[in-house]
Amino acid sequence: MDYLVKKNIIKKNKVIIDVGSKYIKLLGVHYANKKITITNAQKIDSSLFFNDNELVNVGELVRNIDRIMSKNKNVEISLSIPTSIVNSKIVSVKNKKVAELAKYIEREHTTFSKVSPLTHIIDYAYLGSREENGDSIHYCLVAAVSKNSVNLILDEFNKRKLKISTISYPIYDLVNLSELYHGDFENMNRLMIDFGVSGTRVVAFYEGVAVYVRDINIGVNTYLEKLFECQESLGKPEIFKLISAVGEMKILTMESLKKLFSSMNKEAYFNIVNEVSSQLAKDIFRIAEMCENNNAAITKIICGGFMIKGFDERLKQNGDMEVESFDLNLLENVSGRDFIVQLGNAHVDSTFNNAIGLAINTFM
Amino acid sequence: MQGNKKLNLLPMDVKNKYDNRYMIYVSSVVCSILALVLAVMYCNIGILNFSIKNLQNENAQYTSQQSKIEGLQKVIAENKKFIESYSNSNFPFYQFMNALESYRPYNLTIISVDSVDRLANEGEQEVKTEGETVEPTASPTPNKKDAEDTSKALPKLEYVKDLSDEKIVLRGYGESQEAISNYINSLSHLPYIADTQVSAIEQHKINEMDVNLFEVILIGKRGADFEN
Repeated sequence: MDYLVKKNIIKKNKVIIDVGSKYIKLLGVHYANKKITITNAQKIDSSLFFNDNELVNVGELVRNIDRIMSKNKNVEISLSIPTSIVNSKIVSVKNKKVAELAKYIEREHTTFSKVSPLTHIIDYAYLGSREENGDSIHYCLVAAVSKNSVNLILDEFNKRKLKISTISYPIYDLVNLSELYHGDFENMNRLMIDFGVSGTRVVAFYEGVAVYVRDINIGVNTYLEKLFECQESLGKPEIFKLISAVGEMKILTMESLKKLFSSMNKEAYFNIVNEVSSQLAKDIFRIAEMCENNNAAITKIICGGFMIKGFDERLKQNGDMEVESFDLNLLENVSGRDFIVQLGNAHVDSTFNNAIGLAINTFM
Repeated sequence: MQGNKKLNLLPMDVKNKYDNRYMIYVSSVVCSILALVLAVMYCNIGILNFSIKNLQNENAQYTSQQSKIEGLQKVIAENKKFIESYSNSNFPFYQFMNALESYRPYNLTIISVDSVDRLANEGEQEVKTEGETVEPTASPTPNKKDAEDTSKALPKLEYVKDLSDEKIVLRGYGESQEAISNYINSLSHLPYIADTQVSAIEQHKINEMDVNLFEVILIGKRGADFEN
């Protein structure tokens, strides 16, 4: 059906749901005339449904989604599940025909780490190809999720007669989002980073093709846990509020922010934030370095998601790379190869990036 | 991104369910289009059959009409043949009478048009009628006998069917001699008149008016002699 939408034969509405460990992001999307119009954007606090970054209360999560979608029950849903329940890797295949890839991947790459076709749903996406020393190298993203996890989610959605047509995950959403940078020929070697609450996803692009993915185990929760350990008297919600408002910015002007530090040692806060940010930046630069060692010097970093304030400045100071924060609200014309993304009346911040990537998936 | 293989972590049976549903949609659309096309074709065939039947009926009517027309054409051809043969072998009397009236000036009056032999017979009849009036006192019995004798003695009136090569006597009067001469001149130029002879032009008084009485003898021609 996506093919008909892509070829502008039919119009379609979809609901995109990105399940994160802090928020569930919902986008109402309308596809028509090769345009993706975001008609609605909503966030639900999902921290109650997660325990130690594990989705524990699926029923309650779906009930909340159902409450919001009560008027659009017949609309197809594209669901992005948390990275924590997905195992994935990028595989490179040399000198094979594209038509032969499916069989090759099924034979060679369906058993990795704890993944097995018996217990997992395994699928792959073709990412692209490039030429190297006369060889044609194809890249595919292989992902697997346990059947139990998916069936649990599907059962809850089916109970409420909500139709899921696609299940994706944040790394693949990032790959899709990169379609919006297809025309940035000066920065064909780039990193796309999705800062999440539980972790940070990095996708490295070489000559415009995603060649490497990494899930760094540092997210907003890392800051939160360390600050909470240091100052237990301050509750986690207050610390989260502090991280969101201050981040790494040492210049504080607002009285309300100053008040926040009345119960938190400012020096200790910045030390912890600096420590975590340094570790995260180090991991990111290590990926960039690895790319450089493979003759793919990264020239640009595109950041999205829940990035703490001032982290982009840290990336700029410590590297020679251009750093850009992706924000749909700041861009006038956002277009892929043969489609345009438009904002309707909805307001979307950078945490909706994965949902936007999943919305773009229909046109891929 | 080349190719179009996308990642979807839905279980295969659910994906197939969607694919099957779309296949059902597509096949139902295709089937309904086919059914529509067949229905349209069936309707077209019906319309064509109807028009073929109509054309066949019209053709049958046309054939019968054609045979009738052929019959009538034969009759017309026979009639034409007859008319042609008639007009070729006889004097065109109707045209002549028509010409007499159409060429006649307003101040000229025609008294009579007769063939010469008829005039001669009329003269004999008049003479006999005058003879009877001479002896009106004869007894009734011999009168019967006389009547029988008279009927035996009366010449039989015979009208010439064809006036070609015959003399036609035209009598009339006009106020001026010029009108009379113009009229005679016009008649003399008629194609079916072979010759014109003026017998007499005399001045008389009619209703105390001076008029010129005239008599002209016209000799008729056969149709075949002047046509072509």
